[in-house]
Amino acid sequence: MMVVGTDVETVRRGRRTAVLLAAILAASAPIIIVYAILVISSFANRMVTGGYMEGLHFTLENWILFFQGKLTTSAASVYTAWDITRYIGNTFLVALGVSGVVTALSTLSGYSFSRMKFRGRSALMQFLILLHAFPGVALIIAVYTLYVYTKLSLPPSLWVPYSIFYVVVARAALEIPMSIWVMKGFFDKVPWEVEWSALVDGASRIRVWRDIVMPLVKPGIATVAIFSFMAGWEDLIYVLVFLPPTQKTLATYIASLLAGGSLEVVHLPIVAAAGTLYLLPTILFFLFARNYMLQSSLSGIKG
Amino acid sequence: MVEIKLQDVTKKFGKVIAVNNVTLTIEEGGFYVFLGPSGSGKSTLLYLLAGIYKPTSGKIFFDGEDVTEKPPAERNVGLVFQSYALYPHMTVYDNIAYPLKLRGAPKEVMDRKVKEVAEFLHIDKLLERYPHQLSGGQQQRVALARALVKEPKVLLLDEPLSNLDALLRIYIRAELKRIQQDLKITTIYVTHDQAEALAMADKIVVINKGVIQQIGDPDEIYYNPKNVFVATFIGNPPSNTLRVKVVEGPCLSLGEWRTCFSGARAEKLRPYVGREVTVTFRPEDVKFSEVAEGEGVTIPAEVYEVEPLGRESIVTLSLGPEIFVKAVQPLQASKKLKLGKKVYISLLESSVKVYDPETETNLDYL
Repeated sequence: MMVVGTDVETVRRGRRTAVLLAAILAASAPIIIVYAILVISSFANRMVTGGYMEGLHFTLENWILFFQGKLTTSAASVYTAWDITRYIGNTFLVALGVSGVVTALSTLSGYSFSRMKFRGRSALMQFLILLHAFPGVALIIAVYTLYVYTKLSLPPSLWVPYSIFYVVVARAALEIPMSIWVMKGFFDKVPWEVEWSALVDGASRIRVWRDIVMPLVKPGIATVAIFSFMAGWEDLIYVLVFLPPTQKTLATYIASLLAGGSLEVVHLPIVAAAGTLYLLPTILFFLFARNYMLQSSLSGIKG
Repeated sequence: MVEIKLQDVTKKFGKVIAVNNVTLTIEEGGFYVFLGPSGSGKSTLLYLLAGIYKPTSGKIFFDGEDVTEKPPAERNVGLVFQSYALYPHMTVYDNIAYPLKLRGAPKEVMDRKVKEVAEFLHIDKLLERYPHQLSGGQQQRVALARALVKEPKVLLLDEPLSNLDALLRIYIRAELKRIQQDLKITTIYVTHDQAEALAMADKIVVINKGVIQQIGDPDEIYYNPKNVFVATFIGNPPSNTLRVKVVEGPCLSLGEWRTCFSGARAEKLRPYVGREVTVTFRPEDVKFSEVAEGEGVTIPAEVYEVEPLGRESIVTLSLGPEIFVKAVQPLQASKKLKLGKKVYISLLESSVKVYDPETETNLDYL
């Protein structure tokens, strides 16, 4: 057998690699299969659960029924098309809200943690990690108490908007500690000299942040924005606790379809359609964003 | 064009004193080089002038105006970093135009000035490119263009050639000097490379440990170092340093070798009779001969190592256990020097600099 020399970086392809790949594939198969079943079933006349193909045909009917708010093919609808539109709208509202708040706060505070000296900086940095380690659910009672007190001081007409606002802020608060860390890491990579250059060129500190530093940490901003968007999009517990039952997001809508006795009533492929829609950002994200997040375009600073 | 004055400027970072009580006047239109080893505080001094750092104490004046408290934006200085620090997300044009944009210059003015400076520095064909598409030398020019476009009062250069390869460095060195002479702009150039300093400077400011060691033109710095640090930091190879005894005469004495002083130098040396002093001399001032020239005039030595460098060779000589001296010899002459060969070296009195053993100050300056 001929021995071919390789660079240190190159992992030699061989039988062992093949076995390892097969093992990884086998281990992740259940996850892949379950998602595949979900997506395929949303386009089928019944749930696809195995090799049994008789009577199976593909249709867009589930999607149409879902957007009409119907839960079965024949019975009267519990929800209206407007309800579904609102739920999707709410999901976007919460997701974009969380993403906006997290991105705005973490780019500003990440910059100051990276670039400014102030008393207690390192203690605060450690505290942020601790905060991140706390599960959000553990905080929910305290957060709920605060919610009730603040809500009661408002006129009832504002309760619904306030509840959405509250979910956004509370959910964002859970994402912010880690996002600050991520942004700090990206800001750390921008050389001081580039900022100094801009200062000497006549820019103010905030102008330097906006014109020079922010464009250089775009991958970081994208990372933080996307992850917090997903966190808001996927959140179940905060939405369930704070939003009134009339205001659902996709997550709570799907949960309500599967809760209690409704599982026997609903046409499952419609739920599969809802589930697929719920998954869509994740799928899109993996299709488009992964390359962008892995790159950090800081080239050209050093010669 | 502006005259810069530093008055008792000190900068501390925590407990570290980076710049210690510096007082210095930089003449209008002069090319000054801050020369020192890394960590000497030379870059800190430059950043103090740019306004990036604020002095812990002391004052800085531009043409008599106190700028100590002014932020960088209001000082109108051009600054070029070793890493160039171009804005990676902007084209060359936008990089150069950025200082003008911040001043709110009208589009036509901006266009004209960017084109002018780009032509001046021969980068007018690169304006649409991004920094990562440029070579090191081109990036360096863009950085210089960005510093010059705002017509600064002072041009500050922080080791601008250190990231270039050796050939390009020598080429750009000459060009930079020419540009400075054409524009007559007050320029401060920071480097650790003594060859760069000697080649470019009107005045060299030698800095070590945050303290100015000597200010002078290149000749003065090279031929009349003020202390042992300056003598050994400048020159390639650097000055030889020896500890020798002062004996009655007064004469310097090492083994059988004697060099006696007369006139003013003798008076300065006399108080040291009976003590040891530090002496330095340049490797190129060491004279060789194959025979002894009489008692006390020459020093017997043994060839320890010969390093040919093309035009000349560096010869390391052993004067005794653990006493080594470097000498520069023409290549042809050095070829006859076999390792272990016995030779005699001699030194002119004028080429030997004598320093106080405690303060290490050149006696000529006392």
